[in-house]
Amino acid sequence: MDISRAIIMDVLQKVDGSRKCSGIYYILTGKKTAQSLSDSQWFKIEPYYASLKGLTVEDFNSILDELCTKEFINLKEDQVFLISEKGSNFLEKNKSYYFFMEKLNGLKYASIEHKCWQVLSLFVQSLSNALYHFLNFSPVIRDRDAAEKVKILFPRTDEQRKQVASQLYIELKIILKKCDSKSAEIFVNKLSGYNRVGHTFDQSAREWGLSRVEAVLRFRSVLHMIFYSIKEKPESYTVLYTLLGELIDIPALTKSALQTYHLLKQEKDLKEIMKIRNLKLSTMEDHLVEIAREIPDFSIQPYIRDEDKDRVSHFYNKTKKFKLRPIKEAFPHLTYLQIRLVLAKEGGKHAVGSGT
Amino acid sequence: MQLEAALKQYYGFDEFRPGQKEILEDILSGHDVLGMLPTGTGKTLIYQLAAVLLKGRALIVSPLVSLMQDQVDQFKQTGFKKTVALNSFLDQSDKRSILKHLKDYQFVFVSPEIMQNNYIRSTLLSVEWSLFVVDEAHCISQWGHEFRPHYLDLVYVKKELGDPVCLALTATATVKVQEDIQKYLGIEKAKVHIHSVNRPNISLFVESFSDLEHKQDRAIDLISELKGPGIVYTNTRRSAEQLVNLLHEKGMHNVSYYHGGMEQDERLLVQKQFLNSQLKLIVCTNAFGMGINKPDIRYVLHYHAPSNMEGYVQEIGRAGRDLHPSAAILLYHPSDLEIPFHFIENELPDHNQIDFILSDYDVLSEQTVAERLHLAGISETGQRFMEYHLNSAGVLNEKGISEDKRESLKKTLKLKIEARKKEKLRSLRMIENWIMTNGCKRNMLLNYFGEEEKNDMEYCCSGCQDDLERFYGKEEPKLLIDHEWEDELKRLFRQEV
Repeated sequence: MDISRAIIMDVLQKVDGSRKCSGIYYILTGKKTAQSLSDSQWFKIEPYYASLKGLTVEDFNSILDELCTKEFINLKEDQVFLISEKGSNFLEKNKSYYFFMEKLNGLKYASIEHKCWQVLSLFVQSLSNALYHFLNFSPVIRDRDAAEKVKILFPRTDEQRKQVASQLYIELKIILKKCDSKSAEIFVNKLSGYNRVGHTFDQSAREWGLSRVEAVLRFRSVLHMIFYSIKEKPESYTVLYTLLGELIDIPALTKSALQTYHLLKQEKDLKEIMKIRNLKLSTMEDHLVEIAREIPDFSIQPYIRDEDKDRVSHFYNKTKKFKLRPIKEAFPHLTYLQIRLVLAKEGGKHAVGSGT
Repeated sequence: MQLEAALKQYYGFDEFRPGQKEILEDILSGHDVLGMLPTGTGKTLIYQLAAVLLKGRALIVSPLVSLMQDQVDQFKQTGFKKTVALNSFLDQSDKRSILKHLKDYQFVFVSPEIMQNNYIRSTLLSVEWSLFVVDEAHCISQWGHEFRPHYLDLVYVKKELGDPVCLALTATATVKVQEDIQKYLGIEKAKVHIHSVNRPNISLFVESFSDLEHKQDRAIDLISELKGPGIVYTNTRRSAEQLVNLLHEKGMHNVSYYHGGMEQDERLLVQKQFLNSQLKLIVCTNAFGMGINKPDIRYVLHYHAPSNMEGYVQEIGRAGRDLHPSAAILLYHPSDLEIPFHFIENELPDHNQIDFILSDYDVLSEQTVAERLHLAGISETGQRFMEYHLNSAGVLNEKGISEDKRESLKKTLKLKIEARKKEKLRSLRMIENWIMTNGCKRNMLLNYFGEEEKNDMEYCCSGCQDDLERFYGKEEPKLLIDHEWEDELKRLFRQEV
């Protein structure tokens, strides 16, 4: 079974009927809305956020149809699907095959992975060619920012190049060893260097008899593993950290929420920000929730009293319901925004440790 | 002597190719030049060296927007690092940064359309230019195979820039088009260097099929027999992909497609793999083959007929730039012409669309002519065409236009479009005729461009019994990775095994 079907089934299993398939489609294709971002976290499907980037609605629907026909999933009500026993047995049986996806974290990295890859790929290509004293190679990456960055960080002398190469070799080897060999092969084949231009995804897929989607996901899983490793232990991955550290540190906010965040840091209040940015109240609230969720240091204290916050967390932890309405009914004096802020922080707690 | 020294210094060559030196001398002594040199004979070298020797800056107008970045890469690789492209593909911040540092660049590529932008135009005016290069200059003529109306404005840009020396270049222009180039660029006094379109080292083969399956079989046979590297041209992305899949099924793995629908990263990888001889063949759509610059291409195979003689000549010009014997093979089936025919019929707006764009001003919708133009659902070429003419007539950003003016404009536009269509259909018939007529393919081609026949070729074409099998042969396949990732990682970083 193609990997995209397994992903869709696993997501349906985890969402357990709480969302319509359109919501699921947005998560899988990485739509940057407050809803898909927070859903990914609440349902603990961060790996799958943006995992099927580029999938069309038509293709998504026809996969759902196909899974229904084969009785891997069932229609619960209009637009809502549940995994069947057959489906969940299937996932359980093939768990080890899909294991590499544990390393994915689309929610965290989908917005920066491409930039990071461009820098890493261009750096490796340049370094490898320099090590063989071949200076007239043709770069496989054109991005101006990546080129600028590589130029600045590139070691100047032969001696430095050798040192950096040995260190980067070791760093990549350690990380690749943590991945399955198929994914590691695909990743290394995508690198370009002296006398070899990297594979396209189509070529990797063909070589390994995989679907293109799976080749892409395996490649991305290694990339995400690199990001994760750098973040966990920057001191062990000095070269990778120098190359990518700065890019990875950017919080996974939508562009617009990031601007709001910067204004908040300049101690502007909500009214001012709404005026400066010409935002609607609801947009402003979405931004706050997003910021609360993504940025651990961001305190929600100004927006809700501590005791209310504790009562909401307690209630949520007891019921583990991801729906707002029951909470609102239990605490009618609180606004939806206040509840969402607490849940954003709660979701954050669970996210810790649920990664790789 | 100075010229040869520079040639040696920058390229390591000892001798110029025919035409290069004469044109350079004219430019350096301050003359405008119209140069027609066959594809693959080093037109680029002329303006690279000219700018270097003039110690100045060159503005290069090119219509091939999607391939501009490829050209920039090639400049950089040749050693001309201060090269940049300005076109609609750039995002705002890149555009701003380039414009801010414009004076640091020596070679600036621009699309004709982007110079309509006042900000860009005024920035271009703020630096000094020694050379104004108009590449693919045939685009200025309605009789050329690729008319780009905005080329007609280049004469004004040139004046504003203070009339730097102008070099108009083309690979394929009939006499009528040559005259248009001089007239519309205002370079009537230019020195004219016309060279034959003939590429003696390329043998021409045409084979006709009445059965599509036979044609496909023949293509696959040829591809497995011919010595690479090679390029195959198809007329749609889909057929490029289909052919490649078929070749993969036959076990030919070092083959890839290459077209405008691919993600940029992937397209770049395929291109560089081909240049690095990791691929033996790429299958591409006509437009994208133009970006490939590899000297040792041994054959160009047309899986579908192109839509005119000029396009054909440019496309086969990818082969044999190293001057070694090479083959151009066209496999023809009558259905080949359906797609170009359809394209010609639908590229420019029809009467209905014109009536809509220039309809009575509607108070409710408050649309300008430009807004209607975008709503009308016409092709990119069609939009460019309309935009140019509506702008020239001064109505592009208007809302209410008098009925008289609208009616007369509609009439002129319709006439222009009909004329353009007719011309394109005529070109299509010409190539069909060239394919179907028995005889020497090379001489018929030379006749079309108004040149004298050549009857002293040792090898010539399928009409002269040249033998395609002399291009057969196997090359050593370049090994891709056949070892584990750990070994490859070691090799990449040159770690001792």
